[in-house]
Amino acid sequence: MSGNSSTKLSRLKRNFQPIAKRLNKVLLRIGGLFMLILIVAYAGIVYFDISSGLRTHLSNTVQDHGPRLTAALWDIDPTTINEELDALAALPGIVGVVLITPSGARYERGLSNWVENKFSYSVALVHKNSSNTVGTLSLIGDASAVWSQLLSRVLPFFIAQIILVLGILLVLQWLLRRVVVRRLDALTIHTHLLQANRIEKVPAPPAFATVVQDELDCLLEGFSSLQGNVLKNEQEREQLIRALAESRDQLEIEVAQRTGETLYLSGFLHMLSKDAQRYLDLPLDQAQFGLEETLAQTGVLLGFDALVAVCFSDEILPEEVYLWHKEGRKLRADFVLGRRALYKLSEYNLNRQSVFFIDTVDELDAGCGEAVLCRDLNLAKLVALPFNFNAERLGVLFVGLKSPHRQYSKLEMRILPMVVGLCSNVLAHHRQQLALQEAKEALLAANAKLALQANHDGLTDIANRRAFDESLLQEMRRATRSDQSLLLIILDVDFFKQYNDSYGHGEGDIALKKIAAVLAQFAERAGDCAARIGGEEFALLLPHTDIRIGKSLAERVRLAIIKLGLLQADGQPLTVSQGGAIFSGEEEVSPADFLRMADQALYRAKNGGRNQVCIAKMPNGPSAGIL
Amino acid sequence: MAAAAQDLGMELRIIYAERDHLRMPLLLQQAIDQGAKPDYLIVVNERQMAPPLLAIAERAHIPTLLAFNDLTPEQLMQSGLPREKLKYWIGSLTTDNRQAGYLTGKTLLKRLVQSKKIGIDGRYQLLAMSGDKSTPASQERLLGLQDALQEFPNVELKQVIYGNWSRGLATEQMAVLLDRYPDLAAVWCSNDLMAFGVLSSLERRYGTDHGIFVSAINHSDDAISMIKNGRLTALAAGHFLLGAWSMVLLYDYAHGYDFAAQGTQIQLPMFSLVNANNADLFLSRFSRQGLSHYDFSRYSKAINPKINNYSGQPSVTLDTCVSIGIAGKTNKSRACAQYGKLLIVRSSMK
Repeated sequence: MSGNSSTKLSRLKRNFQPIAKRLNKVLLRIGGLFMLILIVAYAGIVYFDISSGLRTHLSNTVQDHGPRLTAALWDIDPTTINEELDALAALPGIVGVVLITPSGARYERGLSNWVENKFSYSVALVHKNSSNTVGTLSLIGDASAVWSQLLSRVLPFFIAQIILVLGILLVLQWLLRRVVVRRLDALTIHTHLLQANRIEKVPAPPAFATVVQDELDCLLEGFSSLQGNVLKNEQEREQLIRALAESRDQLEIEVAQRTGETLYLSGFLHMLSKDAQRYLDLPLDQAQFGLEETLAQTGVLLGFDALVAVCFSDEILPEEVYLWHKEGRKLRADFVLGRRALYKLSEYNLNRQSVFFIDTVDELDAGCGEAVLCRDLNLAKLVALPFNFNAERLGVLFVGLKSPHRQYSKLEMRILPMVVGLCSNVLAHHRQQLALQEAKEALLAANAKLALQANHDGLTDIANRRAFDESLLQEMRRATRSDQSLLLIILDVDFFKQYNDSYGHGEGDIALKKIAAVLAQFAERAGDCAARIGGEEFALLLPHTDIRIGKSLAERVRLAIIKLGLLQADGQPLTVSQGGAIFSGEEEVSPADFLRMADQALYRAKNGGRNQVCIAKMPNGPSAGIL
Repeated sequence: MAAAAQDLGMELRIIYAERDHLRMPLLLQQAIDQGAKPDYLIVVNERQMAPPLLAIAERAHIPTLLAFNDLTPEQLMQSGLPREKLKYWIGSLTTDNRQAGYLTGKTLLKRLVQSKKIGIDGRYQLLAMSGDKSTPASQERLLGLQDALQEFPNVELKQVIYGNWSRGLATEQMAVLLDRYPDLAAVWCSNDLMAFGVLSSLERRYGTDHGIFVSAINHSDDAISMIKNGRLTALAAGHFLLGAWSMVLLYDYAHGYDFAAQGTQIQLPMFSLVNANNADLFLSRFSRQGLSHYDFSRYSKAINPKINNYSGQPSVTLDTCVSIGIAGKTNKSRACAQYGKLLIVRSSMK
C-alpha cells in the first residue's frame, strides 16, 4: 500500500519538474545578463582609466623633455632638436613624434598622423624669453599597448565574474530547491489528495486537519516505505557480500593451486632436464643407479607409493627391474618379468593405448601378474606406462598408490610421460652404449686377427714373405743408419719334392712346420726375423751379426735341422742348403740386390752338394769361400 | 707664417690631417718617429684636440707652443698652466678676440643708430650669431660685442644664436629668426662664413634691399669684397699674423729670449677694422707678393734687443699691416715648429 502511494507521488512530482527547470533557465539568463552588464561597465571604466593614464604619461614626458626641446628650438640647434626627438621616440609607450615649427619645418619620428590618432597629445612649446610658440610637439601613444593592457585587466575580471555569477546561481538554485520546489511538491500532493475519487475513498474526517498535518502524513508514509526498502536492500547486500566472499575464497584456492602447480611443474622439469644432462655424462655401469635415483625423486616429489621400472631383456641386456618403494619394501626374489612374460592384461592394454590404469586391484584375477605385484608391494592402484624408443618397447613403468582414495591427478599424468620419456632415453642410451662397446671389442679382435694373418704364414706360423720384405727394408735402413752389419741367410730344403712325394703333403707340411720352429728359435732377438719366403724356402734376417758369427750360426742351423730326425725315403736325413750375405750399410745396394746376393750364395751351396752353407761377404767384392 | 720662417731662417714643415682631426695625434706621432726630430712644435686646439698632441710632445721632449686657440678652461683645469704639469708646453699665443668683437660691434651699432630705422618701442633689435659655446675665441668675441653694447643703451640684443661657424646652419637659423623677430635691425656675426649665411637668408626673404646691417670677423676675399660693395657693414681681420708671430716667439725662445717674462699665455692684438676705404689696400697687400716684402725679423728680441714688449710693436695695427704689407693664409693651422726646421700640421686647407 505504501509503495503504491509513493510511486504515485513521484509521478506527480515529475509533472512539476518543468517548473523547476524553467526557473533554472530564468535564473541563468538573469545571471548572464547581469554578468554581461558588469563586464561592459568595467571595461568602459578601465578603458578611460588607461587612456587617461596614457595621456598623463604623454604630458609628463612632454614636461620632462619639453624644456630641453624648447631651448634647442629657441637656439635653432638642429642637432639637439634631432637628438631630443630621437630620445622621445625611443621612450616606451610612444610610437610617434611630430614637431612643427612656426616657420613650417616639420620633424617626424615614427607615426605621423597624430590628428586622427585618439591617443595623441599635442602641446605648444613656448620659450621663457618670448610669448610666441617656438613649435608644436605632438606625441602619439601606443594604441596596441592600450588594447593589450585593457585585455589583461578585463580578462581576469571576466573570469572572476563568471565564477562569481555561477556561484550565486548555484546558491540560488539550492535555495530554490530547498524552498520553492518543496512547496510545489507539497502543493502537488495536496492537489492529488483533493481529487474527487480520492476524496470518496478517504474517510470523511481527514487524518490531519491542517496542510501541515497532511504533509506529515505523507512524510510518515514515505518514511515507512523507505525504511522497508532500506531493510530489504541491507539484506540483499549482506547476501551479496557473503556470496562474493565465498567465490573470492574459491578463487584464491584455485589461484594458489594453479600457482603451486606451475611452480612445482617448473621445478620438476628443471630437475628432469638436469637429470637428463647428467645421465649422458654417467659412465656405463652407473646408468642403473641414475635410473633408480630418478625413480626415487619422482616418487618423493609426486607422492607416489611405489615405482617399478621393468626393462625387458634383449640380445644385449638381461632383464632388469628397478624398484622404489616408499616404505622400502623389496620384491620377491623370483619376480620375473621379461619381454615375453609381460602380464597379459598389461600387454593387451599397452598395445592399444599409451597409458593403462588399473584402478581397482580387486577387479583383477588373483593370479595375474599385476595383482601379484600389487599384493607384494601393498598397493591399491596401479598405472602402467611403456618405455618406448624408436617404436620399440624397452620396458614398462608401474606407478603404484597405496591408498584407494588417492587419484592420479592430471598434472601427474602430464609429468609421468616425461619421466617415462627420460627413462626410455636413458635405457636406450645405455643399451646403445653397451652395443657399441661390444661392437668395438669385436672389431678390435677382428683387426688383430687380420693383422696376424697379413704378416704370418698360415702353415708355419712364422713371418711370411710380405712381413719379411718389410723387415728386410727396415733392417737395411737401420743398418745403414747405425753402421752395423746385417746378415741374411736363405735356406732351401734339399730334395723336398721327393719328401713330399714319398710321404704326402701332410707330412711335408709337418716337416716345414718343424723346420720353421727351429728357425724361429734362432731368431730370438728383437729385430731378428725368420720367414717362409717360398714353398720350401726360408729366410733368416739377423741384424748386428758379422760374418764370423753368421757362419757359426748357419752351421748350428744346419745341424739343428739334421737333428730333427726327418728322414727321406732313402734313409738320408732331411737337410737344408744355406746361402748367406752380409750387408754393411752401402747405400747403393737395394733389398733386391741383397736378396739376389744371398740367392747366388744359395745356388753356390746347392751346386756345391747341398747341406752346406755359403756366404757372400761383400755384395760386389770377392765372394767368400765356401764353408 | 712661411714668410716669417723664411725671414728668420727656420725650416717649416706642415702636415695636413685631411679634415680628420682625430688623425692628428697619429700623424704627429708618425712625423716625430719617422723624420728628423723637430726642435719645436706649434699646436692649435682645434676641436679640443690639443691635449693629446701636447701629451705626445711631452713624451718626445719637444718644446711646444699652442697657437690661435688656447685650451678651454676645462682643459686648463686638467692640464694646468704652461710649464706647470706639462714641462714642454712652453706657452700659448692667441690674438685678442675680444677686441675684434668690440671693434665690429661698435662699428655696426654706430651705423645702426645713425640709420633712420627705429624699432617699435624705440629700441633697435640686434641678433648675435656666435660660433659655439665652448671655445674661448667664440666667447671672447661675444664679450667684445657686449662691451660695445654698453655704449649703446637703446640697442637691445634679442638673442644669441650659435651657428657653429657654419654658413649653412646660419642660413637656416636666420630664416627662423626672421619669423621670430620681424623688426630686426642688425646681425652681428662671429665669423665671415656665418655672415654670408645670414646675408643669403635675408636677401632671399627681403631681396637685396633688406636694410638690415650685418657685421663679420676674419679675413677672406669674399668678405672684403662685400665690405666694398656695402653688403657687410663691418669687418675685422688680421689674426692670421699670429702664425708669423709664433715664429718670432719661438725664434727668440731658441735664442734665449724667453717670452715667459711677458707671461706664458700671450694675447696680442692683431685685428683691425676693414672698411670700404682700406679694403683695396688689404686685398693688394695681403698677398704672397706683399708678404714676401716684409721682414719679420725686426720683431725679434734676439735680433733687436731693444724690444721689450711684443704687444708694443706696431705690427698689431692695420696701419702697420698696410704699410708693411704682410699677410699669410696661415690661420686655422696647427703646427709643430722646429728651430731651423718648422713643422705644421693642418687639418684643412682654407
